[in-house]
Amino acid sequence: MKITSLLLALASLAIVGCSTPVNTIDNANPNATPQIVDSRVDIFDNNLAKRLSLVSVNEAQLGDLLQIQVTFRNMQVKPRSFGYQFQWIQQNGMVVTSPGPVWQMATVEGGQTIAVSAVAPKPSVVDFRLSLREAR
Amino acid sequence: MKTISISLTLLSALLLAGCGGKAKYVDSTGPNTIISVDRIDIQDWSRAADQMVQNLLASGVLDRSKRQPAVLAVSRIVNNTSQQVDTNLLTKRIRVALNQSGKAVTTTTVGLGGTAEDPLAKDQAAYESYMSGGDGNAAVQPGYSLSGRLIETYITAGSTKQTTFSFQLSLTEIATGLAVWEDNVDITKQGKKNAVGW
Repeated sequence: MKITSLLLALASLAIVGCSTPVNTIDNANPNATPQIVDSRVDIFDNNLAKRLSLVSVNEAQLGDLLQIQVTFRNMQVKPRSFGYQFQWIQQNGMVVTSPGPVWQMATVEGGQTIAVSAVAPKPSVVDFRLSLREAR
Repeated sequence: MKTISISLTLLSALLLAGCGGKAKYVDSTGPNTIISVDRIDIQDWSRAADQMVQNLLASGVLDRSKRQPAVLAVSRIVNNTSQQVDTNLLTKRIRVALNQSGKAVTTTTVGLGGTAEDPLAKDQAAYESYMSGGDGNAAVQPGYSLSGRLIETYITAGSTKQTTFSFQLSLTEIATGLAVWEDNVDITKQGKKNAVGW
């Protein structure tokens, strides 16, 4: 029995490895008043969805350009690296192809909340689509 | 038994052969590109340019230009990395994005040291200016100048290598000589050898 417990403890240590998760402190009564966007999520990678939890999507207007910020939280102890790509959609439904969408990289520590944001490339953009992919 | 072993070996060989080696097209910024440890890869240029354009657009500096769209000239981009690079890989992406945004256009007839990017357009503009009684300098003068520097920082720990490429840009308002927007994007890569995909 003792051996089983010891093995379990060792296995947990091996899984956690050298990872050091982060603790987060923020304002209990936030002063920011973000404009929250209702979002729809299509999930093909269930593991990624479990590890990286969507916290919020909010938008702002920078002059005539749309700005989007998507906030995630790493629900695990291990740091996670992921790629993300914003695609921008115009009023007529067409996706902006020039400049083309670029995959950016981000790393989020265990337990950390991270925001990725982007500014639309042209004033005609009215919508966005965000793709996420976990790094190998 | 022997037949099964041979079949399995052949099947494994076929599977292995099917997985790699063949040339294919990949997205230039996508997850299947080759990542080097100590070089600026094609996706690094795109990521740095994309981040800088986003930051420049978000700053609103170009919206405050008296002339709309703002007129930019590309000045010197100093390469302090160990690589020989064409800095157009960065600046052209930025120019395209700003042009598409409608916020800025870049002059191709005013360049560093009097060298125009498009000499034909410069000569033709001068000719037309003379013909209409001008002084031969008809080109629209830029309101802003884009300059910058690429820096490489390299370090190792055992057999693990780490390289940071810093992309630094300044946008100077020519009328005042002040840098009205500046940005620094660091891209850090760590590993022992190059890899396919991320």
